[in-house]
Amino acid sequence: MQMIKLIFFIFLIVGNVFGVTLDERRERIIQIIDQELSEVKRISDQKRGRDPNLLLRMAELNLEKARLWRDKENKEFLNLPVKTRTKINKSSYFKMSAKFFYQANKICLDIARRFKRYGGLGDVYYILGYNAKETNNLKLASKYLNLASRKTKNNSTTKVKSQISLAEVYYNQKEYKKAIPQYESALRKYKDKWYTKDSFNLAWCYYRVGRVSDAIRKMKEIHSLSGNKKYIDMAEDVERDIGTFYATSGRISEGIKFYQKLNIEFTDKLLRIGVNLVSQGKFTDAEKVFNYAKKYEKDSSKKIDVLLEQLNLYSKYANYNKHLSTSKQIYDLAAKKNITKEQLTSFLYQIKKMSATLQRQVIGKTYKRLKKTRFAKARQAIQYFDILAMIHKDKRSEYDFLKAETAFVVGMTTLSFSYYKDAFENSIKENNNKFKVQSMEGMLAVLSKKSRLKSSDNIYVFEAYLKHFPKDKRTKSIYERLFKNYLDRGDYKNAKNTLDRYAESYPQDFKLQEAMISNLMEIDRKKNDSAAIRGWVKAIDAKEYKVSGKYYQKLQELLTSLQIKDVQKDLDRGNKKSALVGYHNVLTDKFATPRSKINASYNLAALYYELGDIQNSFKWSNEAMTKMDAKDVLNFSSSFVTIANFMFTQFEYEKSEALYSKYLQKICSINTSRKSTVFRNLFFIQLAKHKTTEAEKTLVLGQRCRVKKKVLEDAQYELMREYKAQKSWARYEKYAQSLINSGNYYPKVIEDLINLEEIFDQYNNQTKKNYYSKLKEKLYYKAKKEKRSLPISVLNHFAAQKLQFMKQAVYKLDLIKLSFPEETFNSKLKQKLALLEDLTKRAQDVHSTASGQGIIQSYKHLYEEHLKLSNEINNFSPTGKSKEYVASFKQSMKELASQLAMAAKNFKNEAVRTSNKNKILDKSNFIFMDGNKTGIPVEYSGFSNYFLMERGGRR
Amino acid sequence: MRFLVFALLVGCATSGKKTVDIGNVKDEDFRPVKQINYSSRSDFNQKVQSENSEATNDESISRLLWFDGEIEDKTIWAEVAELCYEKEFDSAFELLKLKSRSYTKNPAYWNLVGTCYLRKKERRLALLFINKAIDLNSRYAPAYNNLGVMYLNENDYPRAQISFEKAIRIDNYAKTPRLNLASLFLEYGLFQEARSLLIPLYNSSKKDIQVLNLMGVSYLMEQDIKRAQQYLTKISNSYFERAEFGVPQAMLAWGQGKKDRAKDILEDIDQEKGHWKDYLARLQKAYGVKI
Repeated sequence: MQMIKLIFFIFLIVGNVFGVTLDERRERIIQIIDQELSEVKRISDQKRGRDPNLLLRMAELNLEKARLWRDKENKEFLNLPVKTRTKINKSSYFKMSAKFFYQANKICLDIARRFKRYGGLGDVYYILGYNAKETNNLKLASKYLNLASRKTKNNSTTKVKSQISLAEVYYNQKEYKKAIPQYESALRKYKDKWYTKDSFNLAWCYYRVGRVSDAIRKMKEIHSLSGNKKYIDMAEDVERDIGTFYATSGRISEGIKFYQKLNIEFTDKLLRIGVNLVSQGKFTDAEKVFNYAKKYEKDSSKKIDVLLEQLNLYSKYANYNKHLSTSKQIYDLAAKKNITKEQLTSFLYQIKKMSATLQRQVIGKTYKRLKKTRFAKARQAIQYFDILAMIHKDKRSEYDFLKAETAFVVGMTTLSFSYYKDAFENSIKENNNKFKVQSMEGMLAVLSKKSRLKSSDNIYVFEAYLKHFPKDKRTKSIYERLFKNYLDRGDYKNAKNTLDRYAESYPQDFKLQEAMISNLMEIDRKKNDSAAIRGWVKAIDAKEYKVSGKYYQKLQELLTSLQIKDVQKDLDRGNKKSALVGYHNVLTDKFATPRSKINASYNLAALYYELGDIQNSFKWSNEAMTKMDAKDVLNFSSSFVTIANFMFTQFEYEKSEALYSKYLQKICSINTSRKSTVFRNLFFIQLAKHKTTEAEKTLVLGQRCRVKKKVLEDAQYELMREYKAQKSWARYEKYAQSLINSGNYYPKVIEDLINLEEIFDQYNNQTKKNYYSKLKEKLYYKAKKEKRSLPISVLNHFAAQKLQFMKQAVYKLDLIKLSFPEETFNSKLKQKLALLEDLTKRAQDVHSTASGQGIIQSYKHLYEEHLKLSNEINNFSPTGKSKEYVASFKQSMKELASQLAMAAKNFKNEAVRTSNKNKILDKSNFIFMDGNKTGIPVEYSGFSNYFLMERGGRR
Repeated sequence: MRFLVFALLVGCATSGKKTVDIGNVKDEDFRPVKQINYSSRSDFNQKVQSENSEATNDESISRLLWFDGEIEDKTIWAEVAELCYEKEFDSAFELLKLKSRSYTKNPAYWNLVGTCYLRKKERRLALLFINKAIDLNSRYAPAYNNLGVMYLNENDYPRAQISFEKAIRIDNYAKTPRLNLASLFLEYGLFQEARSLLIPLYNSSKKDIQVLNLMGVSYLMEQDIKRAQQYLTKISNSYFERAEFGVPQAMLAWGQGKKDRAKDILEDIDQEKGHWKDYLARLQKAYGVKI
């Protein structure tokens, strides 16, 4: 068996020596193997397959053939284009080798099954294990190789190979702890050319389990053996990997020394080590290595490389904090112009990438609820933009804008504003319109949020806006906001300037101009700066600003208010003289509004009234009332009426009349109780001055103004009486007529109807006389029926009418003269007595009128006629008759005469009693008086002896 | 914008002036005039002397002046009443104007103004001011008395009677309306009513000529010569030339049987108008006196 192997190897060498190609050599070896295989098979068949050695040999040969075919297939496979390789069926391509691997496996399994005690089972299991390893069935490989190791003698090659293979399996499975003893055991026994390669794996196993010193030691050993041709040269690998061991273990100085011996810069190595570690996903180690590299690297450019790799590392595992700090370090170096173009490109790439990532995270929903984190990310992003801005100085505006946007999203409004502002200013410098517009939008957006920005910031924005976007559709509102800000700061000058600019830009837009002017004027008003307010009015008049009519009106009122307010203050403080002067000034002020003049006029009236100045209080009251509307006059009724009364009490009737008249005319249409009072005052003043025409006009006015009916009737009645006194009969009649239907006055007016009857009788107007005669009767009886009180003159008149009937009876009585003959005498006496009785009845009619005068007069007639008849009877002496007849006649008449005299006396007494009781003022009273002692009845007239009473008297 | 604040007319004017010079105005000038309110305790004439009008000296200045009484009273009442009595109305009203603002609510003042207008025969103006007095104090008796006098001037005797009676009802101690009403009653022969009014006047003043005269007349009307004599003989004969005094004196003499004296008195009486003219004629005819 060994011989065959030897031959095989000789052929290989010979082949090599003689310049045979690999393929040709392989072919030859396969041929040889085939030859041996056929021989061994023949022999094994002869032994009916009972010789496990032969079977083993067959398996080995098959295995060898499989390896060789695998080599060939691999080479051919790798030569295929990548695309072809991915498309073809890989297993069909390795068909041949697979066949021989399978064959070998089959034989070995057979041996293992049939020859359980076979001494060469170790080899058998080794083949099986090897095959399994080749087919990547590591678990099976591990099993078989363990068996191979157990079944072979300690120092045998198969055992070593098994251990090595098993170690490899463990190594590939990353079971470094299991791999180490296998390697150690195998390598302790056998040192073939593969020793360095296997030791290399062992070194890595040490490293992987943390036995860095062992790893380094092993690597060193490998490195030193690699110089020996006996072993595979692993120096390069060692130089590549030992640096990692040094680096990750922190034994940099050793590493440096190691590499120095090899004339290699370790820091360069460290960088590569770090990169490798990163590619392996060993980020912590990689970081460590980079840090070491950074620490020991003195070359700035190389340092930047290290930092860039660190950036890459941090980027890979998203350590933003370290990425940022590293970026800053890079920037610091770059600022010193220690960065190459490529490095800068990488750096920019990293920063841009990271800033974009952070910005996305800030904007995105992921961290929406994690405020702190979001804030932190925003700040980081901003710092990246800062770096970018510092690098790309010509693009500052862009990065400032990005900073601003980032800050804005997380609500760092104050900060975002300052960035927007920077962006804006830089965009102007850069002539970058895009960011100019966007940064302005950003600033406006910040302002729209309730931020803690100062008004100066607002102002800056608005002023900038107006400067750079004068025609924009939002300019109007910007003006408004700018104005408001100036106002809030109390910057009157600039607020006004804003208004002026607005007025220039939008001359027709009066609404905003009005609003602005209002605000400015309010300031003036609070300062009581009337001149300033007048200035506004003047400016508006001069068309410098445009306002609505309604507003202009309000302006005037404001002016009025100011004008009056100052004066009012004087008044409130009791400085009435100043107030007086002040109000006069208002009136002479050409800017004074009509309203303020009315106010001034009224107040002057009031002040002059207080001074007792008749002329001026009248003048200004009149003035004020003339200009005021009805409502205002009503509101100040008390004052106007008081002043009018003052005029009256000062005997200035014309003035009083004028004021009352004006007042009444003003409030005519308003429903107020004052109307009647003023009407009455006015009317009676006019009447007192005999101004009947004016009084009539006042009456008409009163009717139009709906003065109370009773008051009007009072006026009509008095006017009527006045016309009577003036003997203006037509007017007298007119007003009498106007009152006949008055429920209040008709009883009183009967007196005037009686007068009118008499008047028309005098004027021989029978029609009217009859008319009034009937009318007076009608109203008299109506009043009687209604039990209304009648004037005494009316009672007397109707009593007089009835007295006429008494007088008729008296006349008739007087006509009848007693005479004889006796029958005639008796008849006449009878008639007279009847007439007396009739007279008595008629007297009752007179009494029913309740006229005192009538009653006394009736008693007078009764008394006189009874006495007359009594005397006539007593004095009658029949003629042509005897004395005795006469005596007898007289005696018979004496009784009657006596009775009549008694009746007369009773009437007299009754008259006196009635007169005294009722205090009836009638001259007829004297009829019943005696005058026998004084010659005639005593009469008295005290007309000149009625006295006025100026005082109440001592009490 | 609401109308501006106006000054409230709370103060009263000072004494009425035609016009003031602003330059001389001081703030003190605006102070309200101190009001002199009515006081019944001081509402009477003081420092007046006249025995003849003794009964009403404290009430009626015009009566006092009619009897040539002396007035030392320098109050506005006396001054104005005197001026008006003398028909110096302009001066009277000037004085009234000056003082009026102090007496705004004083009925006595406005009554005084009314009396002046009555003297001036400005009936309606008189009425306005007398009514003003009544508006201020509806129980101010002098105002009603003066209304009565006004009605008498218009021959409205019933209204006059009502006014005098009201004055007496309001102030039972008022003398002038009593005197006036008594005079009115006697004019219509109501001697008993007149006498009841006169008795308290006589009791308080036995020297008042008019009271004596009216008392005498009331008894003469009753034909009680003896009683009439008690009063009429106290009257000085210097008044006999006036009919209202002379006629009762003549009638007294006649009633006493002193017919010649009666005639003498009648002959000395001044020619009168109105009622006295007719009555004198009748009396002279009855007494056989040639006119």
